[in-house]
Amino acid sequence: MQAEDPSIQINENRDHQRYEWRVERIGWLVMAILLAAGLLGLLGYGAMSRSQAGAPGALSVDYDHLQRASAPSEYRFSVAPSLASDGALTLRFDQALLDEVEMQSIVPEPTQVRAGPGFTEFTFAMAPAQGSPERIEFQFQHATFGHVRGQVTAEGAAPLVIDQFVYP
Amino acid sequence: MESVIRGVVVYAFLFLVFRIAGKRTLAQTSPFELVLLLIISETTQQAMVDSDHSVTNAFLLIMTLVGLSIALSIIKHRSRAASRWLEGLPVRVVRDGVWDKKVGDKMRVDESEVLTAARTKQGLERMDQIKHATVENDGTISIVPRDARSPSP
Repeated sequence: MQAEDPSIQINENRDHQRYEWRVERIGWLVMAILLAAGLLGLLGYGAMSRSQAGAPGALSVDYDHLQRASAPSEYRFSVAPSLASDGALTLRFDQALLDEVEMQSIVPEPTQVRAGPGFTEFTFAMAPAQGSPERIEFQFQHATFGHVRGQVTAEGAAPLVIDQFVYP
Repeated sequence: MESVIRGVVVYAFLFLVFRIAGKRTLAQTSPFELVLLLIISETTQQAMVDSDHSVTNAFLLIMTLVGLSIALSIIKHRSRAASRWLEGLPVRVVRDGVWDKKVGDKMRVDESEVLTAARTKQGLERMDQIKHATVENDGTISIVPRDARSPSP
């Protein structure tokens, strides 16, 4: 504690102030690190948050493995036309992936949605095309935060594991 | 339940950020800083309220924020150590007429700002007319002028 100046009644403490400045600078550093993490996508929506699962030639999905609750999110599936049987393709989602999700749109729209024990199936009509893969997009928002993990399966393709962490 | 938690988290985060930013950040109400404050409040409001625009939610949030403010004031009143950390202490940048450059740099205050405060608050013209200049807890600069009873050192 600094010697008190008798001419002014002030609650000054230089030792504390020096300590406070040090804490302040550490705080700036932490903020800079968090901002850099945000720019890189470690807090969602960036280069380092994107992820892909599956084989691009058959069934694959692009998604953000780091996401934020109440923010627009999507699963972008790429499906080889050869996976369709009788002009239809069924994607089976583990219920864990859809439990705390507010679905906003599915493009193209499924022709049928079927609920089962622990899963939901979406069936899409597919043109008997060859060559370029079909794209199916699920747009939604996570209603809550936490770890989300589940599988998406389609007949004839290896199961896709979707693993996400949703920030509050 | 969630509203209260949101309120507490946002309050704590804002408190921490503004504490880390230092006394002088957003202490002046220049037009730009006013706009910045409005943007911060708008951003905060969306995160706090989310999609629940009910009156009940608003009441809960208001009570949470005011309640936290009361709780902090009680803590600050009861404990001097807590008060030092939560609110900070005033810091003199001019002591006995001498400009303390090191402290000024740390506080991000320069001589011209002290002279502006001296002119506007006390009608003083020069640094040697200032006895003490203090950056107060709210970030404002208070000036104690040198008077006839306290000659220059």
